[in-house]
Amino acid sequence: MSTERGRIQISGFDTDGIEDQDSLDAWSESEADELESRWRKIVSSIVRDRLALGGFAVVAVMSLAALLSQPISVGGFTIQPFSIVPYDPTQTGVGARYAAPSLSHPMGTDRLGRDLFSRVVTGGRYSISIGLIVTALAATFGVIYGSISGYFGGRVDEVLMRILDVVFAFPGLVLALILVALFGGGFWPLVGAFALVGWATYARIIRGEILKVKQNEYVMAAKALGARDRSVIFRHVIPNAIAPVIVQATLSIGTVVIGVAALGFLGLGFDPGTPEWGTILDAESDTLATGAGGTWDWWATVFPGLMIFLFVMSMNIIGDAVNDALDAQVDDIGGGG
Amino acid sequence: MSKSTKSRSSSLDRRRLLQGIAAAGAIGVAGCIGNGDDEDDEILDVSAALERNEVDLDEIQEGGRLEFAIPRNSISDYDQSQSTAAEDSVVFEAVYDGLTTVDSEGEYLPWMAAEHEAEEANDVSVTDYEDYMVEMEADDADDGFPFFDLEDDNNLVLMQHPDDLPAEEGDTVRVLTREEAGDAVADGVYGTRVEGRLHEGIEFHNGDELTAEDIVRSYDRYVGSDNEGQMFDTFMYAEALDGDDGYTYALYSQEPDAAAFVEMNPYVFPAEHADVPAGELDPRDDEDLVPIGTGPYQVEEFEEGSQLLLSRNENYWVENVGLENIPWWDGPDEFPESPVIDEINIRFVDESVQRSAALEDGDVDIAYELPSDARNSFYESDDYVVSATEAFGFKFMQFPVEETDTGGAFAEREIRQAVSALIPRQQIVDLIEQGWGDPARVPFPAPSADLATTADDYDDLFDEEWAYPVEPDVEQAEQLIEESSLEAPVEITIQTNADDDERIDKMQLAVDQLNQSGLFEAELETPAALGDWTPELYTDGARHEAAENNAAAVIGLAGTPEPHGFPETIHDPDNWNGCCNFFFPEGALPEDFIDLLRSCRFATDVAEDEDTRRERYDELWPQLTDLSANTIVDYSLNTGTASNDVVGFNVHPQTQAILSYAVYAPADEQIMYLDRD
Repeated sequence: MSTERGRIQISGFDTDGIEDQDSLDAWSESEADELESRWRKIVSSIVRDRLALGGFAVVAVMSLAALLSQPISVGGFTIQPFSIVPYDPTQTGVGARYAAPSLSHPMGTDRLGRDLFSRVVTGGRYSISIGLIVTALAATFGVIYGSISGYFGGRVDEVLMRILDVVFAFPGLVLALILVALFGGGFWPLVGAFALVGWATYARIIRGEILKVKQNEYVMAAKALGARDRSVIFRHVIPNAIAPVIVQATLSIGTVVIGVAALGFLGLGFDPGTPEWGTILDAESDTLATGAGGTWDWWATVFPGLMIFLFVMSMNIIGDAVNDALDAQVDDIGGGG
Repeated sequence: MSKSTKSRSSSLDRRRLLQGIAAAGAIGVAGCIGNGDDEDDEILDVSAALERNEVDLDEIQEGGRLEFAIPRNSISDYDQSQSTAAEDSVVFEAVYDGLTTVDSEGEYLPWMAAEHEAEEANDVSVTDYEDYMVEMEADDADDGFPFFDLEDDNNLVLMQHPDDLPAEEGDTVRVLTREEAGDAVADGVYGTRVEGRLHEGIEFHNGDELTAEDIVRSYDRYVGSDNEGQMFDTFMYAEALDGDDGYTYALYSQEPDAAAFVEMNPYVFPAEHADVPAGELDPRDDEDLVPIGTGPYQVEEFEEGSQLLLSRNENYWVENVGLENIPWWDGPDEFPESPVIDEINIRFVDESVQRSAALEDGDVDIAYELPSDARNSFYESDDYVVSATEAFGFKFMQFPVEETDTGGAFAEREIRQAVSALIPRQQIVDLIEQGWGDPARVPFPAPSADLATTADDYDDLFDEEWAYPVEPDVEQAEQLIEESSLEAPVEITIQTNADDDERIDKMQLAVDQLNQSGLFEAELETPAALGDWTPELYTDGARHEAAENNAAAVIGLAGTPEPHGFPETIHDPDNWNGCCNFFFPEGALPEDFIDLLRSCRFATDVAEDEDTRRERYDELWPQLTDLSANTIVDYSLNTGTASNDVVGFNVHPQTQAILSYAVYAPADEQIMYLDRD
């Protein structure tokens, strides 16, 4: 006992101790458990919050209705055979011009006698799918980009963040508008345009989180144990910094939907006649001019507008619930994409 | 703890908000379900709008400022030698009077010219000018077509010797330029001669008197302009017969020309503008270069994109000359000799919805091109007047006929005919125009029919075998597709302007009908969403690209009472890459068809005898519809809407004359005034 007095005891090099420690795999498993519990928290938060539950139900119903509205074929093979809407959404003359809502046309008809219910329900396909795909693409790229920037720091961070500043220097919607004007509209060009402007927000959020997370002992320990950077980033850093990104992603789906509708309303986006909500609004905007003593064919603009409103509001409510569940404190929903 | 409280409070607010919205939505929907009607669309009876609004001359009130909305966000070009925009002409037709005028029936009458008459036609062709041609070296060449660098800015090549074509850069080509044209005319080598005499005492807004020299020199301003081709494809030479200060003039065409009487008339510019290069007469670039004409109004103030104020010309020539000295005038003595409205404020209101709202709010007195439903409401309102007249505007579909390795469907006549047969022309007019238009049955509109057919009644032509079907003829289309080398469904694209909602709607109906037939898989595209699409059609390779993509182009055009413009503009290879032949260079269409087309106007017999000309057109129309290089969709009614403050508003068949005609047109005893009481 006395022989050890005054000596400095250094730990960490005793292999017995290391063997006693949890393995890295076990550590990851515990993180996976934590992720699982994070999803449980989100689900539980949504279930507890009736408003969020309502929002979720609206999104689910609209998405399902859009999915089942018309058959889907890929390469000549029908992968979705159902057609729940009563009319082909592009077929003209199925009713009178601007027929008011009735049992045969629950949302009335438009100026070409097309059934608005069929158009509005099918329209969800464009907006919702673009919202989801854009968010997935933008979040994936943004997270990788921001993680590299935050994790490596130094000059890498400096260069990557200045590139980010360039993207942020343009208003997101205006940049998307320019891209669509240059390269044309359509589904994938719109996806590309919004993803190109949307990833930056995720990159900045995750970088900030990673700057905090990478200081944690478990990250330093992983490095000290010789784990490769890629492994450290994807197995230890990102999972612990991802919460704000999830919240941002949830909130930004609605923002993308609004953006797509905005471009559609400006006559960009899709070809005329496409039953996309913004494009419908654009085509029917003339109904707002009634002339002297004329009647307003309100259904032509109210229903597509209501769909945009309901979907975006529901997504925002869900986003709020996710935010509460993860305690991520994200409040910026205006960053686009 | 605090967080929990915040969350609950927030949830309650949102819940209430959502409940409120849901309730409001439910009430709204419930209130309206069951009120809908599935009745067939009722077609508005527009006959009242086609009647003239008469004015009691004793009631006319002088003065006031007319607020007139045009569907543009600015003047495209102040220089009328350069401008090709119809809305520019709407404004500047009130500033520049012409040698002739057109009444509401489409008849041309002398106006600033006391006399203006085509005298004789000579049977000449390009080779007859051989002795007057000079040899020039081609400075550049495109597709065998040479270009020359001329020293004098006012000179240009009028014609090239056909034996020297095609030519490459550096080749020597015999050409007739404006400088040699006078020698040919002096020797009696010309097509048609139009002789005229101006009224004496006509003054420009700057006080200069109008003389024959002003007419002669006005042609210089077209050299190098966007309208150069249109002017100099016919016009060859002008001379002042009694010297520069005289009032008689003679105009000469290159070929015998049945339309020389109207087609060679320029905008007449004063001497101080004669040397201003084309396109530079624009006060936005130089405040001293304000348009100066002899018309009833002059430019008073302007502000780019927001305002253009015209004031009444207090020295209007009709007052000096006297209506009684206008040869055709037989109206009442008390008819005014100038417009009575003091000022016209041109309002730039690009969006039809905004024009409708401005009219409803009383911000503007007259607007046109309103949304069809709003126009219907104004028509049915007692507080507004909608005036309409059969017009010369038309929509047409042009097919790229080039044979290509991929695509190339429209190279087959049967495919073009099948598309034409399936266009739902009647539905387009009924549903989109709401009755304010006419489906195209023949390739020219009713107001141009006088010289275009021997038929006594325009409606008789609807029964001809070559007439366009107004209802889709699926059976005929099926047969045509069977006769073609292609199998149904044929993939095609229809392209049109992104900035014209009505045109888009019309083509959506056409696309739907094509798809419903099962014979086509058609798509509608609106290229250049933010820009102007039409110039893209004139670019290199556009014709080939359109053919490869099976993409037909649909645009609209404003015609004139002269019937030849309808077939010529959209078919003649001389017009290729000029408005509005996008797809037919030399050789694209059968030579015998082009010869027949040209012989309807550019031949001695038709220039000298109107009946011969009508018979020639009778030969042309069946060939034209059989060829189906273009197909006409519909003809417009020109409509304008005025508030009750405006008395005597009537529209003219030509959109360009909609303002100038409304304010003052003695040819129809048309006068309009403001009654703000």
